[in-house]
Amino acid sequence: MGAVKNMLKGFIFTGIYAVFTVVIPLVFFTLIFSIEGLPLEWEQQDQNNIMFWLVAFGLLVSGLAFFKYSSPKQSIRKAVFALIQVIVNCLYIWSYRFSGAAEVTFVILDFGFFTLDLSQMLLIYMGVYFLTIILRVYDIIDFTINREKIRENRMK
Amino acid sequence: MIFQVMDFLEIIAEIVGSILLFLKPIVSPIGAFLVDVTTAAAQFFKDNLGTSLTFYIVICVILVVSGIIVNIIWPGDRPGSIFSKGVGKIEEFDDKIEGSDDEDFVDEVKRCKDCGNPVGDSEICPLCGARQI
Repeated sequence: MGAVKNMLKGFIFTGIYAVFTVVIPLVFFTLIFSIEGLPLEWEQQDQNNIMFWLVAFGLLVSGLAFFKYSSPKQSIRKAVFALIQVIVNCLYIWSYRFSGAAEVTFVILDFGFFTLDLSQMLLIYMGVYFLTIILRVYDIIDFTINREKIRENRMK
Repeated sequence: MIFQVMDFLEIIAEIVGSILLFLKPIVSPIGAFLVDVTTAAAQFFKDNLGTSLTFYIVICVILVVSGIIVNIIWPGDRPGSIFSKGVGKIEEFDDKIEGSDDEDFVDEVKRCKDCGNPVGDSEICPLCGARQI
């Protein structure tokens, strides 16, 4: 029963992560690129680049989410995969920057253009992720030290 | 009311700003380090694995399948199925040994009906001479 419950939980969270990291951004960017007349200066190569990295890291994040959320509570493997997931999340967030999605150039006719740089916002996210990494490392240490106690409580 | 809310938000912004300023000497180098590491990792992915999604799909599938297998073997709320089989066998073996210890083999030895002396296969007790038929 425990295994089925864990896997169900894993699949639910994989679905949620897939929706939030792959489907919604993909739909958003597809809509933006498809709307004619928007004052955005994005080329086909930028579009392909953004889509590719979103899907690539989104898949990794979703796969890791399955492993993390299907693992038993307070288990070492959950803590380890949570740490890996945070690191991959950093890459996912960073992919917005290096694919060019964080710099949006608006072209206004008869006026010129201006660029909206969202990198600073991503940097704040990176700071939050760094704090999360520290928490995850603490979790690994805690779960490793109290392994026997946690296991006894879980198997009661 | 709106102006009061604005004042309140300004106070919060000042508090947060002062905390960030206080932590800046510690947080900034850490943030810069994380950015450097992430940039290097992202660049690695871009240079080596930036052409096909196959790698990422395979990794995702491997993670899900291995997650399923690991959960079947080690569900967490009871000992893992591989080990539990082993443990079961060991316990079974221990029970057998314990059971054999409990059975007093002395009881199985044929004794004299009169004096209780072990007589074995003999028909007459060597101690009291009583017949054992």
